[in-house]
Amino acid sequence: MSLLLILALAATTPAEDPAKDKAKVLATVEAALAGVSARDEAAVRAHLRPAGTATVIMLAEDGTSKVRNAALDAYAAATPGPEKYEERMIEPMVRVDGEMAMVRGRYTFAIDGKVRHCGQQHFDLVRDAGRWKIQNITWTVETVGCEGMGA
Amino acid sequence: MMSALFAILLAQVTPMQPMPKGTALPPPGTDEGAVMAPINALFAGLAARDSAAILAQLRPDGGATVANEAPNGTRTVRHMTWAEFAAGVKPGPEKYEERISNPAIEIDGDIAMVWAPYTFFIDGKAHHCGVDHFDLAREAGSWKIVNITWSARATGCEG
Repeated sequence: MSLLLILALAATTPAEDPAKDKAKVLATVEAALAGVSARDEAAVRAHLRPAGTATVIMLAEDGTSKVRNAALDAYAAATPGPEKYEERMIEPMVRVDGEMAMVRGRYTFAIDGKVRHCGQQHFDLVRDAGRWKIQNITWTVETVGCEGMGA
Repeated sequence: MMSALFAILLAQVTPMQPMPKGTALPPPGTDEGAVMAPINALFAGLAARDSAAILAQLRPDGGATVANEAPNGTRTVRHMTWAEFAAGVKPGPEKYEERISNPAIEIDGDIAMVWAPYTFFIDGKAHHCGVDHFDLAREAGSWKIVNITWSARATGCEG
C-alpha cells in the first residue's frame, strides 16, 4: 500500500460511527440500570470503571439540598430483598466525543411497581480497552412530584 | 398566570441570552454564567499555574479523567485524583491557556454539566484539543466542579 493511500485512508475512515457509538453508550448505561433493578452487584460493577465518583444530591421537601460523595463502587452495592426494584431513565440524552461520552436525563426508581423517588441522573463514560464504561455518576434524589407517582 | 409547569417548559425551550460575540460564552449574571464561574476560575488558575486556585473550584471527592488519542491511534484512559491533577500544574516559564468555544450548558436543578470543545495553547501555540466535560453540583447556592473528563488529541487542532 502506498504511503499516500494509507494517509488517505487514515483521513477518511472515521474511528467509529457516531450513531453506533451513541447506541453503545446508552446500552452500557441501560445494562448497569438493569443490574441495579436486578440487585446484581456483579452485573452493575461490570460496567463501572474501577475508580470513579458517585455524587448524590438529596433534595428535601423544604427545597434544601445536600451533596454527598461516595466511591463509584457504592453504586453497585445492593442488599438482597423481596421487593422488586426498577430504575429507568426517561428519554436520556447522549453525547459522544471520541473516547468520552455522557448520558443525562430524568430517572424514576420504583419499588414493587410504585415510583418512590426520581431525579436527574448524569453518567460520565469513557471507552476503556474498546468497551464503554461508566466513570462517574451524579444524581439528584427527589421524593415528591415524581413521574408516575400520581397525585 | 404562568403555571409552574409551563414556566419549566418555557425555561427549557427559551434560547439563552445572546452570547458576547466571538466567545459564545454566557454573560455573568445568568444561571449559565453562574455554572461557568468555577470553570472560568479554573482556567484562570491554570493560566496562572496556581494549583490552589484550581483546587478551590473542585469538590474534594471528585476526580479527573483523560481519554487520550495518540497520533498513532493508541487510546488510553487515565483517572487522577484532584491531588494528582493539581500536581501537574507547577510554576514554569511557558504560558498556558485553555480556550473553549460554544459550551453546551445544561442545568438540571442542582446538577449541571458543561460540554465544550477546547484547545490548549502553550506559548500561544495549539498543543492539544478535544472536548471538556464538567460535572457540577450546587451546594449552599454556589456551583462547584464535581468531576472533569476530557478527550485529548494532538492532531487536527485549530490555531
